[in-house]
Amino acid sequence: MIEGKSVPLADGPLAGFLAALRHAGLTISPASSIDAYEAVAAVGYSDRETLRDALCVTLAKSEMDEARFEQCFDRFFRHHEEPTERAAKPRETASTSGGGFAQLMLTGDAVMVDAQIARAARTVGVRQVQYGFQRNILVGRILRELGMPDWDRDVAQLVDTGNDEDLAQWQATRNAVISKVKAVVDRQIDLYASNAAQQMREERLANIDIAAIRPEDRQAAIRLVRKMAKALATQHSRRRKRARRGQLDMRKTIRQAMPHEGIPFQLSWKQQSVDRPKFIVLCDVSRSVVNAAQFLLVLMYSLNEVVDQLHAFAFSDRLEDVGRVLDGDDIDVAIERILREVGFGSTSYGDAFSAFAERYMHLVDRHTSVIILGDGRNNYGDPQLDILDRIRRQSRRVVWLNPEAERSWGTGDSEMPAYRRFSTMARTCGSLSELQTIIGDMLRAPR
Amino acid sequence: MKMEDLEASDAPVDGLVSGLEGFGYVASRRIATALYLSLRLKKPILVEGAAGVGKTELALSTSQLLGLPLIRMQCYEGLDESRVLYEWKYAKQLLYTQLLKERVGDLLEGASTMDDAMARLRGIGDMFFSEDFLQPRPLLQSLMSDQGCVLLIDEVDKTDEAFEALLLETLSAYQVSLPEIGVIKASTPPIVFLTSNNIRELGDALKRRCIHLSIPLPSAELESRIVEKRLPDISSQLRGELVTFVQELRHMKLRKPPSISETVEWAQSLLMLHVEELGVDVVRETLNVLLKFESDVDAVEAQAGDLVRRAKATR
Repeated sequence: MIEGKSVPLADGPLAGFLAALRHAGLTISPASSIDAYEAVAAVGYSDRETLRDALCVTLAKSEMDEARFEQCFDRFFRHHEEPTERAAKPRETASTSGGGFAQLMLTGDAVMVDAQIARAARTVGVRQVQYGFQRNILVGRILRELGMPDWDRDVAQLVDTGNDEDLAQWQATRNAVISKVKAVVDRQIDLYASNAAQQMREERLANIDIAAIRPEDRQAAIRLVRKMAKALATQHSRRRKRARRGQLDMRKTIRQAMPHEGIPFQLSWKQQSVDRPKFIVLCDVSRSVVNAAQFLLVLMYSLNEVVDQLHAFAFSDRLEDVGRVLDGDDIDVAIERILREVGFGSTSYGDAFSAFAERYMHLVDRHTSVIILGDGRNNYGDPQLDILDRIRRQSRRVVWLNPEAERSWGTGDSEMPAYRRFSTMARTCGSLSELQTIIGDMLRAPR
Repeated sequence: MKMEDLEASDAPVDGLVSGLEGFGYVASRRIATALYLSLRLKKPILVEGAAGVGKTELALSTSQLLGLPLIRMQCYEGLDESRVLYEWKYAKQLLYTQLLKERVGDLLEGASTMDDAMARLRGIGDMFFSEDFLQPRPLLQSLMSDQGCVLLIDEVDKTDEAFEALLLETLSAYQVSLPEIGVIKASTPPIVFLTSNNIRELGDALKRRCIHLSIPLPSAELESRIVEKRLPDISSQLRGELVTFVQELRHMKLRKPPSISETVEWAQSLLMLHVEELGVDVVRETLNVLLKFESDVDAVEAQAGDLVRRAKATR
C-alpha cells in the first residue's frame, strides 16, 4: 500500500473506467484493480498522459490489450471531459425527484439538472447496457425515474399554462432535458455496449454455415479465425515434454548423487520432448468449397507457433503446392492468387490424389496428419481409393473435412461414403467453430 | 540518484527521463512512468518488444542510474533450479567430510548410547547444509544482496513453464524457500526486469505480478534523439537523413525491420566511413549492417535510389 497519499474512491471514475475496460474485453482481476488504484495514487490525476501511461502499464498485459486500452481510454475520458465532481457533489439532494425535478428544470440550474440525470441513470443501471437496441427502453426508464409523467401536472401548478410564451419556454426546457438524457444513454452505449455487439457478431459468424458468410463479413471472419488460432496456439504451445518412463537419465542421476558420495538416492528419468505435429493440407478450391478452404488455410497458417511443418496443396482439376505462396505474402492476397491460379475448375479428386502420390508422397511420414478438405464430389471420375489408402497407412491419420452436411454425403456424384471408409476420420465442418474444434482435437490427440 | 530523491521529487517521471538520459538512455514518457511505478509499487517490470529496441539496455541504465549492482540471468530452454537458485558446494562438502572422518572417533568418545552419539552428530549434519556450503545462483544472489540490486532476467520467454512457476514466489514476495535451510527473504527487494521477445506467450500468473511495458519501434523524433545521444559527433544532416531512411524501411514489409540498435550501428558505421550525407552507393554498401536477411537486403537495394531521394526530400 502506498502511504501518504489517499487512494481514490472506489466508486469514482476509475471504477467506471475499469468496468469499461472489462467490457472492452480486457481481463481485470481484483488484484490488478488494486494495482491500478495504487498506480493512480502514485502518479495522481493531474496529467492525463501520465495517467494513461500508468494505467496502461498496470492493466494491459499484452499487445492486443494495449490497443484496446488506448481506444477505451480515449473514449472514456473524452466523455469525462466535464469535471466529474459536478455530478458527484449534490448527492444529498438525491431525494428531490418528481415534482422537485420539474421545478428544478424551470429554475434552469443546469448543474443540478445534470446531477439528477446522472443519479437517475445510475438507479436504472445504464452501465449494464449490452446492446444498442436497448437505447429507447433505457431513455424511457430514466425519464420515468425523473418523474416525467407528472411533469406537466407539476408545471401546471407553477406556470400559467394559458400564457403561450411560458408554455413555449417550458416545452423547450423539457425537450432539452430529454435530449440530455438521450445523450447520457448514447454515451453509455458507446462505452459499454459496443463490445457486446461485437461479441455477438463474432458468435454468430462462428456458428453459421461457412458458405453463408457474406463477402462483407469476410474480413471479420478472417480476424475471428486468427483469434481462434491464437487461442489454439496458447492451449497447445505448452507441455512439450513428457517423461519417457523406464529410461534412466544417467547424467542427471549421477549429478544428483554427488552429495551422497555417489549413491544414487534419487533417480531421474529421461524426458522426451513431444514433437510439434506436422500437417499436410489438401484443399479443394473448386467453387463449391472455396469458402471453407480459405478459412482452413488462414487457420492453419496462423498456427505456426504450434505446428512444426505445414505443407499446403490446393486442387481443383490439378494440384498445386501453395505453401510458398502462402508463406510470403499477405494472406488475403495469397488466397486470391491461389484461387486465380488453381481455383474454380471442375474437381477431380482422383487426379489430385495421383498427382500428390507422384510428386509429394515423400512428405508423408508417421508424424504427419493429412487433412483433406472437400465435398468429395468427383464428377463421376475414378476416385483412386487405393492412393488414399496408401496415404492413410503411411501417415499418422487422414482427416477428411466436408463442408456439406452428413445427410447429403453420397448423393449425386459424391464419393464421400467410400472416402470416409479410407480416412481415419471424416467430419463435417460447416461452421468456423466446428473447424476450430476439429483442429484443436488434432493438436491434442496423442500419438 | 537515490530512491528517496525520487519519491520526494515533484515530477518523478520527468526526473527519471532526464536521469536515464544522463546515462545514455533516451526514454519515452511511458517507459519512465512504467519504471517509476515499478520502483514505487515494488513490482517487477516485464518489458516486451522486438529484438534491439533497448529492453536489456533499460535495465543496464537503471542500474547505473540508481548506483546498484546488476545481476544478469540469461534464460534458455531447460534452465532449472540448480542454475537459477542455488546449489550445494558438493566438492567442499566432500572435502569437509574427509577431514571430519578422522575426528569422528574423538567426537564420539565417551558417548554411551546411540542417542547420545546421534545428538552429537546432529550439530555437524546441520553445519553441512548451512549457508557456508551454499552456492547462490543469480536469483538467490539478488535476494541476498543487502543494499539491493537490479536483477535482469533476460528473455524469460525462452524458458519452460516449470521455471515460470519458480519465479512466482520470488517475484511476488521477494523470498525463496530452500528445503534444507528455510525461507530466505530479501532485506531490500531487488528491482527486477524481465524481458521477452514474445517467442511464447507467458503465463497469466506471471504477467499479473508484473508491470507490463511494451516498447514499440521509436518515432522519428525519438530515434533521432537516441542517435544524437549515442553518437554526438554525427552531423545533424546525416542524422536526419538516416533516421528518415530507417523509418521508411519500417513501412516496407521486411522480414526483420531494423530496430534501434541497428540504426545506431548503422550510424556508427557511416560515421566511421566519414560519410557526410546519405548517398545511394554508400547505402548499398552498408545495408548489411541494417538488415539481417539476404531477402530484405535485395528488396531494399532495388528501391535504394528512391528511398534515399525521399529521405533527403523530407528534410
